[in-house]
Amino acid sequence: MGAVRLGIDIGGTFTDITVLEEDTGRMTVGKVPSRGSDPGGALIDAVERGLELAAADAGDVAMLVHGTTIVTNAVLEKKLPRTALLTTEGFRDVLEIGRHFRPDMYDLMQDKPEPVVPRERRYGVTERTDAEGEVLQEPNRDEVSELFAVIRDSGSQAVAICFLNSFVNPENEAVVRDWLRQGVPGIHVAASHEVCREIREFERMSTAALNAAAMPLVTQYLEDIAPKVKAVLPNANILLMQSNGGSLTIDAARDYPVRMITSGPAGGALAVQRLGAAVRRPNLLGVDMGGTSTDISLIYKGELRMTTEGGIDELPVKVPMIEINTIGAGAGSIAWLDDWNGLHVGPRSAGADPGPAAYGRGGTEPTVTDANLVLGRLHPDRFVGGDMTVDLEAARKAIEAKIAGPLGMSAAAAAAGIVRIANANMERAVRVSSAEKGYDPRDITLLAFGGAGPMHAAALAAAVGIPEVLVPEHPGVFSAVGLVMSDIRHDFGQTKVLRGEEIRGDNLGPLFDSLGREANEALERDGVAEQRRDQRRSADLRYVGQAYEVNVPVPEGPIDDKAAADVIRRFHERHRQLYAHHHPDKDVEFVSGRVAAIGSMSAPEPRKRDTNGGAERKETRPVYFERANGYVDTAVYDRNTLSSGSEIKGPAIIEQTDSTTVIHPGQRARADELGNLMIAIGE
Amino acid sequence: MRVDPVTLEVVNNALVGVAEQMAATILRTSYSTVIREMLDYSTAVFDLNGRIIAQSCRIPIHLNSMSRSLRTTLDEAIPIDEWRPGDVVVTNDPYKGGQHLPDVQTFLPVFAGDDLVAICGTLGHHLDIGGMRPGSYAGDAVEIFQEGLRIPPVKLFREGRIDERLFAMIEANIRQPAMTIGDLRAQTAALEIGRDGVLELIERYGVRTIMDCLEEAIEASEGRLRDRLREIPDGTYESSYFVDDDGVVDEPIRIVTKVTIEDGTIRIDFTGTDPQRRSPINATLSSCESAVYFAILSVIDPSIPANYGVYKPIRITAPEGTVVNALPPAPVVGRNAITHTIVNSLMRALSEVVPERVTAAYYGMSNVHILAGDGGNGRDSWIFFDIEVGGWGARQNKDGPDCYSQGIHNLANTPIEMVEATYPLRFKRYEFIPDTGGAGRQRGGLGVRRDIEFLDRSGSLNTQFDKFKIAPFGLFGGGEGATGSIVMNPDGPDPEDLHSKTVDRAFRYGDVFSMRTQGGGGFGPSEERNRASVERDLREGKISADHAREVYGLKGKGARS
Repeated sequence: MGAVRLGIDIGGTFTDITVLEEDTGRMTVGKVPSRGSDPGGALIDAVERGLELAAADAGDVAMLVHGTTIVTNAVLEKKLPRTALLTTEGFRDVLEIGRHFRPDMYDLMQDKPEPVVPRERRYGVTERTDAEGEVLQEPNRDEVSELFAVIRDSGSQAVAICFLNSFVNPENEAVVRDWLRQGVPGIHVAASHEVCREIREFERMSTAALNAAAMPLVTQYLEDIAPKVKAVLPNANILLMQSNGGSLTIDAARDYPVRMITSGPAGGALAVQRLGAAVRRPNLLGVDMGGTSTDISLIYKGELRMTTEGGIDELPVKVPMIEINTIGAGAGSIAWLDDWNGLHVGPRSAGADPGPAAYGRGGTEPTVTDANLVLGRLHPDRFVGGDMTVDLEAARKAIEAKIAGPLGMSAAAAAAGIVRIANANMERAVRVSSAEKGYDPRDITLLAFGGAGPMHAAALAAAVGIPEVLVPEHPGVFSAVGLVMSDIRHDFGQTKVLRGEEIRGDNLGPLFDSLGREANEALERDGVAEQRRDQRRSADLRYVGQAYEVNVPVPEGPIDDKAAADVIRRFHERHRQLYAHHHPDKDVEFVSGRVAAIGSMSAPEPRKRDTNGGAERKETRPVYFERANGYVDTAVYDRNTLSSGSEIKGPAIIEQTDSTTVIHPGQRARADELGNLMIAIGE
Repeated sequence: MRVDPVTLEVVNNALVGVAEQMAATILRTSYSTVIREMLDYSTAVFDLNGRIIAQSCRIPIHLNSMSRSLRTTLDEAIPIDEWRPGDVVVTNDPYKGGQHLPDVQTFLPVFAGDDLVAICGTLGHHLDIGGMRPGSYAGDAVEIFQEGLRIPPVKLFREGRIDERLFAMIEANIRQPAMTIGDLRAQTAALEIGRDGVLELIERYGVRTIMDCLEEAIEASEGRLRDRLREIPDGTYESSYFVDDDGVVDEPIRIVTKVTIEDGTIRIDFTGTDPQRRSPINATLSSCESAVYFAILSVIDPSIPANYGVYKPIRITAPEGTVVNALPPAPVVGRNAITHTIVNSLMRALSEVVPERVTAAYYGMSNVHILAGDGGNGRDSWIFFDIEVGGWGARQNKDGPDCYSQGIHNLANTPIEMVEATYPLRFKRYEFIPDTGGAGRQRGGLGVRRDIEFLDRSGSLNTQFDKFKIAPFGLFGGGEGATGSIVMNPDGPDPEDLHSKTVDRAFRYGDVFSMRTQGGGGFGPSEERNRASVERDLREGKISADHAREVYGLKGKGARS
């Protein structure tokens, strides 16, 4: 066997494994239970299980790409290590004042999000840089030195530094960073301009503080796993998945852990893009429906959409990440009646424990999963591939008691209603991700994954007007597939405001040259061979006076006046596409240049398989469809027995260990030569 | 029931989605920092009676305001049969349902084929609408004619074509026309996005179903509010509260709120409230109603969707010619001193029956400050408008959050770096002020200090602050929050206290404008505050050692610092 890549994604309940053989493109997937307290142990378990499943030799593993939620979980569970923050004197409360906008207009019992660093460990430094980048006051070494002991005594393991206007000129931040490293040996230091060189002090400060707080955690974790992995996989290069869809070396992950904060969903979005390219579908909507939430991503003309306006738990994180819209609608979402008998689904979820009523673990509230059981879409004896059986009667009783009874409906009609509302919740988010961005749903393919995605996708696509649904071979572990397809990636950005005539080659050229050099150096440090290095340039522009920029690609080659004009032209076009209006006669402002440094890992094309066109029906059972206004006898297939080229007419159910696909009456599904199911939605 | 509960939920969800898409369009494409950073705008879809079908309301004070404006427009200015596809109607008239002149509303009819089926609307706070002072907050106005351009409902676009002469008339009367025109374009683009969204829904569900869902939603909100009100003991609960002064005459303004709850209805009677003033501290009935609706909903049940149905069980008696129902030509730009005071007073009245659902008084004012550069000699003139907030009132079982938007507005601050990149201003300080939260078993939220240095040759300052003399009250033995103040050159040799409603104060290069916002009131006696909370506040410097000792009686280890 030739070189092998391993992808391992450690989630809350399960660890997903993907093994990719580079020569043949053969992919093997699997799952092992996660060990909450010992993620390092779970990683090694998963490595061994992966090798076993793929019958691969440990020595052949050239690359291990790892997705971890340790940073995300520490933030959500408020278990970040003790951290200090240095700011410009007089501005230490910016972190806690925030933007002072409350998320709920009416709720008088709401609270502000807790700041990552409490006031007692936030310190002012006398220094100042103005908006043009001129240093008005340099930091004083003696004053900063006095803080060394204070910081040490505070028990802080990390320090973030965020000075006003450091995104224009980082000198003062860099000086204080160096003093700290010397003065407080062993402490982790994050300077805001290195984590996120962008305007808006609160968002940058929040990002730097989160990054600093995550540094000790990630460093310790990596020190734990790196030798263990080396012992098992002597030839593997270890990479970590980040939120921008690329991977990081261990060294970079230690310095910039905040970049991993949404790496799980990012892996999914990347897998959507790569599979889309393989099946020649440039425009895709990824719908990853899990137990508690659904992640929605959009790929347009083959490109993932990036944003720097993400966040976690109400805390902004201003680093480039794949734009993913997460909504609180999942298989475990609870259906409930308000006190005027209005029916709602979510955002509260039964989670894995107690889980849906059908799990028999004490849950009495009906969930979307319970509704799918009552509708016959899920089979109670073949739950999670038969590893688990569930109680259909308990599901029915919960729906009858809590929903159908009070509303005077049948259990089936109530269950259908619950599914329809869950779909409508997703539909609203899908519209935000597609129609609002100016994309036509008729040009889009919906790629459904996550355990519950394929069950809801066909109805969702029909509602939005998307003509085609693609269900990959292993929808339940699809996010982990993204790991083995990722390239090494670093994003660099520099804010430099240029107006109208100033947007010229002689201004833009040096900016992009310098970003390009930084990008190249980063890949050099990562040990990426020159022929594998690539750069993607883009620019953020807006009309003079606007606050939000629009990102457009910058053409390759040297940046002359013609290239600059081209960037402006692309901006007008994009603005019109996004917001239905543009002003070619108005002054344009260039705000930031961006360069993504890519170390290509050139994932192989997926393996094609032989066509024989057979599809054997496993059984027939009654399944409820709204279109038929009741239960109809429905053919059930085993996904494993579908061979390439086989066609299935709806209504049908296709079962596999990690998911169940529902095909509605009037729809047709076809298995392609890459192992995907393509569902034609029809009118 | 006209529609089944599933369709009802699905359609309502989709309609709110349309309003949200409109809101996103405004946010992304507007020009002035008032809209784009402070988020002072709202969007909605209405039926032909002017009732809200769906809204993305960012600011509570906009509640009902657009609806009232649209109803007045239909009744008095442009009847329904005069609306044509592609028309855009614009108005900002406070005496026709608006609130104050800077809030410009736009409406666009939605035609399905030949039938007018719905109307989309937006409201945006514009940076300047003309009048005596930059930013159109003239604290010394005595008639609305001095406050700026008043636009009765009029078609800005006729069948898709802009009325260039009307546009030119608006442009000629305002200070920063490029911003205002840009923001109007953003509002118009949002209307078109809303129209397309509504049409798609109509195609899918039919007008009839959508209207049935509207009736159903209205009935549900009304029914839910009545049920909640019936859970509260019938009775009359009364409170009054004051505004410092009107900025022209130095006397407090009394607002009386008598609340009567009776069999599922709630009556608010303002009889006894002071007469309207010859100053901008006046609220039109529309502003007063919005404040009442907000206070009732947030206290009684914040989960009830705010549509036309919730207005029905609420009866308002606001005598004409008082500060809560001013008559023309009273100026109104400072109406928020009144509306915040209404909300705080209503919470105090209701604290008697539902103490667990109210807060002690919050900072109590949209602390407006407008810094402007004069321009001239080759320099551009400019206007920077911002609003700062203070501490929340404490709750029965929780402290009040420090420096957080509460009450009838909900604003984001403008990032310092964004301001410094745009205007010749430099910030010196933005931090909590210790000891400003009202003492109590639960502490009120802290106010903040924000200092700004003026770096242009010459310019002016106009402000609308309040609660500099009358402090945010505590409840059930809780202490008062700190009053606010504004000071010119606080760290120089001659610091100068300014009036809360400062008018046209000249700026010179290097002047520093320092604002200190109000703290929230405390809840319960301070002796009952647990020691750990006092120690934490002391450790974080949110209270001083003296305060910990004198107010909370903290002795021993924690008291040393």
